[in-house]
Amino acid sequence: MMLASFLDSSFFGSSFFDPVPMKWEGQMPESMAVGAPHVDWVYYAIYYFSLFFQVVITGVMFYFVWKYKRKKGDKLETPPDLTRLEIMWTVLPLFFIVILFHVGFKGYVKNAIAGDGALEIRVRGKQWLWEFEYPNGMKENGKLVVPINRPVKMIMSSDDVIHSFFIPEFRIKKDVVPGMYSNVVFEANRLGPAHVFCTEYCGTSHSGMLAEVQVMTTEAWDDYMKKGPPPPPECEGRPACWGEKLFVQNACVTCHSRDGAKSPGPTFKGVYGRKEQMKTGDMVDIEENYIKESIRKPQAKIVMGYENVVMPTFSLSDNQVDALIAYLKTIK
Amino acid sequence: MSSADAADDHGHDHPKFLQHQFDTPAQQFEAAKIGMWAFLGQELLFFSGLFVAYGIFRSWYPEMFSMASHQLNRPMGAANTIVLLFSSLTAALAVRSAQTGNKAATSRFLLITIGCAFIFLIVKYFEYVHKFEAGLLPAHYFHPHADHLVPGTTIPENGGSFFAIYFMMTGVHGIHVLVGIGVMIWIWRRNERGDFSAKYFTPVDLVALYWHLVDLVWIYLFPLLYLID
Amino acid sequence: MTAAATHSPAHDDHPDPTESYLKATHSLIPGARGLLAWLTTLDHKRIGVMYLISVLTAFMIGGVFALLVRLELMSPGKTIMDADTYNHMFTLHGVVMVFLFIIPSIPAAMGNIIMPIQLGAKDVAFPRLNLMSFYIYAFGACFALYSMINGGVDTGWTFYTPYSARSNSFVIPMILGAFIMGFSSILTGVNFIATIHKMRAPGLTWGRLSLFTWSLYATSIMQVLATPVLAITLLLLTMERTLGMGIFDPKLGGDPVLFQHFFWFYSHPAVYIMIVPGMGVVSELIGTFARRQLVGYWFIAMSSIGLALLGFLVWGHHLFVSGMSEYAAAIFSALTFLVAIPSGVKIFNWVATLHKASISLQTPMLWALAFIFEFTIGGLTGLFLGMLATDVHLHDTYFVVAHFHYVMVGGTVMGFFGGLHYWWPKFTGKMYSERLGQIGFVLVTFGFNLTFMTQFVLGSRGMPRRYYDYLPEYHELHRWSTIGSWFIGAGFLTLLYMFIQSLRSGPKAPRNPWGSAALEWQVPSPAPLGNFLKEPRITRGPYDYHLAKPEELEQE
Ligand code: HEA
Ligand code: HEA
Ligand code: HEC
Ligand code: CUA
Ligand SMILES: [Cu+2]
Repeated sequence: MMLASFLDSSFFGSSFFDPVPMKWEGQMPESMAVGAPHVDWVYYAIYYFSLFFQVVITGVMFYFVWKYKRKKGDKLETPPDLTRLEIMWTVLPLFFIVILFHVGFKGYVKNAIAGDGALEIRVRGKQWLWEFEYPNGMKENGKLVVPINRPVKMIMSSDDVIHSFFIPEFRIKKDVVPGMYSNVVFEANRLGPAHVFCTEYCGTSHSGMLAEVQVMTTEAWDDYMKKGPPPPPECEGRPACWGEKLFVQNACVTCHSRDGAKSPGPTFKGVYGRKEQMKTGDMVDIEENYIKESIRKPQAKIVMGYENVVMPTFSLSDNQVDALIAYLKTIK
Repeated sequence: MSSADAADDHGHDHPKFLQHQFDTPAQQFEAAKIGMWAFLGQELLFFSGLFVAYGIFRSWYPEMFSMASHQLNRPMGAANTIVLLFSSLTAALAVRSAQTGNKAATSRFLLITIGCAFIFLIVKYFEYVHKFEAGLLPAHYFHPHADHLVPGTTIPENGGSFFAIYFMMTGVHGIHVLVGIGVMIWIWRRNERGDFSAKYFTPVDLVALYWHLVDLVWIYLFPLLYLID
Repeated sequence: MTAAATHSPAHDDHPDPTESYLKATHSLIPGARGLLAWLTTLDHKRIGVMYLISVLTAFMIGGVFALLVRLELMSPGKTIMDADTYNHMFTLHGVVMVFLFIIPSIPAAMGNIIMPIQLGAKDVAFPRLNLMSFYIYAFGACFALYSMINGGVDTGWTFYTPYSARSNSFVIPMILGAFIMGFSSILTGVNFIATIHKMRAPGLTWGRLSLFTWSLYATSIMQVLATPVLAITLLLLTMERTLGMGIFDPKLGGDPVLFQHFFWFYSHPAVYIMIVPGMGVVSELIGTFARRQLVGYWFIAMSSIGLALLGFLVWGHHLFVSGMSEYAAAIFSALTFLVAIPSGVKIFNWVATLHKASISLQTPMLWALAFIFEFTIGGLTGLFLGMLATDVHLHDTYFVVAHFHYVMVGGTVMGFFGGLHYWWPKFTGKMYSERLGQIGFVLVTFGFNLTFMTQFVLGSRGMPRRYYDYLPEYHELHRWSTIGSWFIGAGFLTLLYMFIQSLRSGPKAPRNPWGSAALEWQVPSPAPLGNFLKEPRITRGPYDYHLAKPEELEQE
């Protein structure tokens, strides 16, 4: 049926990223950090509190409406003096809110205080990608790896506009503001993937400013730090497959469409082997060396018509660049 | 509730200045007064935004503020303060003479007030010109020329923030002075036309209130901007 | 609206105060007729009608943007537009709804028409200022329109720096538009304060003021005290863009978060500027359709003032994650909870008024009951956001989007439409189809809950707001939300049809179709130019059904 496929809609073409799946527990995402259960507890506490008030208020309201529906001969009288009741329902909620505030504040402080000896990871938000730098100097875009059961402190900054660093599975969020360092602390306690979202509106590809988080065992994490990012197992021996993953992780997608649609950077539909005119008027062939240069030193040659958007510089390993090139060749 | 016994208390006379929606001149006067005070309340809040910005920046960069403040021309600022204070006095005197129905005196005091306002703006003009020549402009355009600075002083790199605030505050204040001039000229014309009397002088009263506010704001601006440390 | 053209010029120089305001008017240009008489009118009712037409147009435009936003979000990735267009869409939706529709909606449109009548006054204190406010609003709206026609803005309605200082969209005209419309709002506030203080009829003590008037009084205070801060903020932002002032620019020694403080210092009180008049309307509706003195009159009246004052102290709850100190965050959180009290007081009193009342479920009352239901949801979910621990998780997710639609659409818009149905006979002299009203009501409320209830779940599960694209896991709920928005659209179209039909062929409205004891129902429908045929003298409050004379309550 037409309508069904419309409603189901991969009808219109689909999302440009294929990140790891998201799992829920009740109304919240899976809980993966030490601070999360307390936040959830507070959430459900206020949830049931609200549900109670909502049900009582609505219930009483509907009951009255039904009971006192207008009939012929209704007497019009003034209500009795209810000052006592008034004072009660002004003061009683005060009592509730003190409790609410207290639980909310405790949860917040728990999440805000830094653990000593935390692992420090630098985070840079850029339009529109996340760059992570580890204590050993290794940098990676779009993917954060953290060891389990160890406090981690993210030291965050931005060069352009405000972004916000949000990991739903950890229940943490903090704005990343140009001109200052902000930080956020967490301790992951469950292995597996999680998500980074940018939650401060930052322009065209705000919604593409994602990153993947991997919580690893300490050994796996140490190993990762030594060897640098390997191709994911499912892409072993298939550079184009790895290239596609890198293409998403490094947020190339946010600027380069793959289907010919207008995007901040040139589209990559049929990019390999095409001829392109530069700002200077020269024509260049798009082949391996040009692509490599475009990634490592994007400002060396600027494509005509794209002078206003600045492509960031990417520090990718040779293997990664090769994988990307292999992938670009496949986009027809 | 709209009962018939209210019928006819249309006894009072209806002077020409009384607008149709009011019943008595007193009601009209009081309504105008309340309206004006509410308006002045919003003016205060309007400026308070700038004062808050000022306070925050000064607490971040106290030395820079003090150094930049030395580039302002204190004698000129002080002269302007006196001019405005004096004009506030004449504005009050204009109201006083309007109350007693002295039309000629009202006109005279209004003109003096307007004159003072012009003097204020002229002085301000010379101050601005100097700032432009010295390149003491808001942050992005800030490019101080050493030879135009007050001899023996320097100005830090980030002095532009001070001048951003300086130009915003004095600029917005200056616009208020300009508006004041316009309104006072209009009131002066109405006075000449004979619109006002001991019974009806509300507009004179209101413009004076406004003028006092403009004066008051300057009284804060002067020490905050010119007299740091 | 062509009626003014039909009578003699002699009339126009001294318009007859007992003639319907649709036929005769005071005008800036004596003797003006037809359209000119409308455009230069000094009569508060005609000015109110001009506002009403403007805000409804804005609502329609904002609604179309909303439907496009929802359509795009129906499936992940590109559905009907690209990311840039989407960003423009939600910004324009927010800006139009907030600055062009909701802020002037109840006070400037309905308040203008009804409040002076409820005071027993002939007009507001400053009719010329009133007309000027309208033109300032119209002028500001032109700037906004200019920006939209040229491609609009993509900054979000909050205009956060430094993005708004860099975005290469038409930010300046839009900001100037909001700046100018701010002055319209301030001047309306000034006008209403003077009017409520000084224009009350003999016998109309503060204790006999209608609760709608009380709510407008509280609103006016906020408009006068909060809007100038927005004005100066937007001015600074304009300077930032044009002159590189650097006050909000970290590269020039400024601070972007300062902008957020300034913005919310206005915009939090602004949310009470939006809701308090809606609460005022609901108080009127409950009084009339429950035929009863409202329980806790003074508590309701004073809670409006309480909201107005407390509203100034909580702006920081929008900045919990932007790096303020834990200490400040704790204070703002505590104060935020305090705001729940006056809102709760109103809810409890409305419900208590229904006890032993004589309740009629005509359309306006349906909207009032829906208001209580939806606003309670919106308000209680506000507590999730005021709570520090949970706000960190929920901030800038769809939970926030759902929260504020429940208070703004479920609250203010429901109040607005309740009021529109209620006073329509007084505005136009026509009745509307009760049946169509009910159909529209059901469609809107059903669609509304479908659209936004799903968004609470999306939000708590982590779906960020202002997202063009999303993880496939969120697809299901987004789809339901989009389907819900179609019901809302169908509902409002039904109502649009209903009102047009009423204008063209609705039966003539009696003086007091609802049997209300309130003052505005004691004058003919549509209201006469001078509001009252005889000067009123007030001997009781607007909800004193036990004191009202039988002929006052007669439905004719
Ligand atoms: C009409 C507009 C309106 C109204 C009335 C409110 C009312 C409230 N709002 Fe809302 N709010 C918005 C419009 C509004 N809000 C908008 C537009 C935004 C987002 C802006 C943006 O970022 O774009 C926002 C965002 C927002 C945030 C920031 C969220 C974030 O970005 O992280 C917070 C946080 O504290 C908040 C809290 C509240 C609270 C506590 C109330 C309270 O006033 C609610 C009080 C009412 C009740 C609590 C219900 C009735 C009471 C009872 C039944 C009594 C029992 C209760 C107790 C005992 C506690 N709101
Ligand atoms: C008054 C305020 C108001 C109102 C009424 C609405 C109404 C609606 N809003 Fe809006 N919304 C905002 C204020 C409002 N919104 C704000 C401030 C934002 C934040 C923007 C930002 O992030 O910057 C926002 C953001 C926002 C988003 C989030 C976008 C994002 O973050 O990416 C969404 C998504 O679903 C949405 C949907 C809707 C829908 C479906 C409606 C529907 O209820 C609309 C239904 C209305 C119609 C369909 C109009 C039909 C009218 C007629 C046919 C004429 C009627 C005339 C007569 C009856 C006489 N809104
Ligand atoms: C912020 C936006 C942005 C991001 C992110 C981005 N690019 Fe670009 N890219 C551009 C723009 C703009 C141009 C054209 C101007 C230029 O040549 O510098 C461009 C040009 C290129 C070119 C040359 C294309 C041609 O048609 O000549 C290649 C190859 C390229 N980018 C690869 C990448 C890869 C690989 C990534 C991710 C690792 C990436 N880009 C990420 C904006 C971006
Ligand atoms: Cu970065 Cu949104
Ligand atoms: Cu708020």
